[in-house]
Amino acid sequence: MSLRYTLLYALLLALLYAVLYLSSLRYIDAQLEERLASEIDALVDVYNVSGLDELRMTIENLKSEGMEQGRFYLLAEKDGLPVAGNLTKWPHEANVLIDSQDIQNIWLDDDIMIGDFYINDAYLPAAARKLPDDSRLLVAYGIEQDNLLRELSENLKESFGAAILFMLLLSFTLGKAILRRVETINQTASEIMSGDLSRRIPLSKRHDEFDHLAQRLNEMLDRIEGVLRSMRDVTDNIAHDLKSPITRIRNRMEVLLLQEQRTEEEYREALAQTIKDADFIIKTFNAVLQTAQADAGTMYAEFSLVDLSRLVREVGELFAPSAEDAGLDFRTEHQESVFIKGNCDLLGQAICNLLDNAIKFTPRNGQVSLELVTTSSGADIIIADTGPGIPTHEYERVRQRFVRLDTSGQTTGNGLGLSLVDAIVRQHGASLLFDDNNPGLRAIIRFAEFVSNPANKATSPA
Amino acid sequence: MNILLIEDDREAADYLKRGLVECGHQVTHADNGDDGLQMALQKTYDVLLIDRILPRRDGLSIIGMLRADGNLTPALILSALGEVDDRVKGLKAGGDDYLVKPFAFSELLARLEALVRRSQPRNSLGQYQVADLVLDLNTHLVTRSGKRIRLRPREFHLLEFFMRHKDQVITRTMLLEQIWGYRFDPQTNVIDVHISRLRIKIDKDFSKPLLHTVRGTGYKLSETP
Repeated sequence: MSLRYTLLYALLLALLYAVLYLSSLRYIDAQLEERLASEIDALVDVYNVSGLDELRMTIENLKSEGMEQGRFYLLAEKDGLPVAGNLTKWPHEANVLIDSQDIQNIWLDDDIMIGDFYINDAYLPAAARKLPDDSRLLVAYGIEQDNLLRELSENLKESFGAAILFMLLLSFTLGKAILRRVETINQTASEIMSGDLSRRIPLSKRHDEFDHLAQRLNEMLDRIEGVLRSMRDVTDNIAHDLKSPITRIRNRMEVLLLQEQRTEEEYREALAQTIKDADFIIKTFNAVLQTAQADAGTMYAEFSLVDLSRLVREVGELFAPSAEDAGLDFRTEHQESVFIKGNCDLLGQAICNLLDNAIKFTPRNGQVSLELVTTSSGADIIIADTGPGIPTHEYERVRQRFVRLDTSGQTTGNGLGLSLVDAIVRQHGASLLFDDNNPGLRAIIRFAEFVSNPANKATSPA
Repeated sequence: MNILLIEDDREAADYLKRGLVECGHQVTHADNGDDGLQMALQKTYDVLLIDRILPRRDGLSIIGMLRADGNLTPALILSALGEVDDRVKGLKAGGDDYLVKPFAFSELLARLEALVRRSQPRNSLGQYQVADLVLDLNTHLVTRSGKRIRLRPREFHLLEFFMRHKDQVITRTMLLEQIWGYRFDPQTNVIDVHISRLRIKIDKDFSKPLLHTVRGTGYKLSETP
């Protein structure tokens, strides 16, 4: 893996060097051309100021120096006959240069070169001028360009090699370190896949990106483990809850068939009981589905402005006779004009479930109250009772599906009521809180945001 | 009742058809939306029983087309639990009632009858009358055999609803919906407690009971049980 990256880096680096080389080449060319142009102009000036003889002398002088540096000069007569310089013949191509006044590469054969050069025939940058007396002047630069280029490529080669070496070393050590840490994660994943869900990725103390990643993955694993555990609980509980009515149905039918002759009344009774059991099964399933939907946030798409004051008043009025029949002192109190965004039926269901619990669990002569108050922390719907309450350490557990605190079987219910309330409340962005009512339970549905008058937008905590 | 049932689930359709026929109704069945719409347009039915999701044409679309055509046959929409759309959409599309599967057959029957049967008319004095029980909408007075009965406002509404739907079976969820305006499952006997209070007031001191419990279904206000 890290080798592949190193190769990629090397390729990129080579590309970079190629670009660098080419641009240097252009720079050198430009420099040479500039020098070439200024030299030939200077020579033309010599002619203009001091005449042909002086120019000839200058070229003879330059010749010896030029031989070492690979520069070529040629002063020739009108018909191309050499007058001075280190070329024996006026190259034919040079005539084009006279016309174009430009610098171009022309072919110089080593046959016409005077002196011992280590370059052979080549295309060399050159410039040529026609002097006023029709004689011609040619300047060409040879080895110098070559030398510069050689130097440049030598330098580049060295630094390229060094860079590659450095990078190989770096990626090797770095890659090794990274691989080691990825390998830890990999191994933990394998262990988890082979069944040990409790495994977690060990953290280093470096607090780097790898630790962050490992920590996130560990959190994710915690979450998954939790969900799996609660799923298993739910499945176990559903199985347990449905087993009894299904067993009842089965046994009742079997007993019914044992005797040949039964009265119609007996058949009717058995069938009615069976419908009752089936209804319980359906109800349980619906409650599970409803909770799951609320959890997933897919239950009812439509939210609108809900008059909480009215809802509390009406649900209170709905339950008042039941509470009275249960021998309870029941009261409903509410502030006027408290509105929230939500779904009336779902909230009604939530309040109903909480009130139902309060009435069911509070002994005769106890008190149950339903209140709507607004405080600095929001709008609270409070359902308080003087029943047995819930121990503080159970406040979280009772929200889970199928959790029933009373295991004596004295009260009815499927243990889904509170989990549904919790799901509905969460779907509304509100919170379900429990508190000790000394004695009894205070269940609070708290809406952080509310509107005290829907006509103006003034929201929440005063 | 002459019922058009549009339902693609064969098993559910068979069960509904059998139940309704055994209760003395005529049932015509269509198993897809297009056929259902054609049938509803060609013949007159007392009530339409339409599944929410159908092949070829959605249940809501059928109702929409019929209403656009000026066809006002009452329609009850059936929907599976878990479909995100709630009844608000169904009712907006022109449906008259909405029932979530699975439902009790007696609940369906009660709701169909409520849709089809015309409300009991008031007498010339603006009163509802069942036997010797009289409810006056103008004066808000309730009497039985001429004796004044004092009711709370909610009890008055309950009684008015029962009298308007005299002889019809009314389920608990229908009452919660119609009288309180909520659609949820109270899971408890809150409604029954209200009914039993009303019953004490209108029946207790009189020889002939009028408010009857229909076992496993709901209640009925009637001269005969």
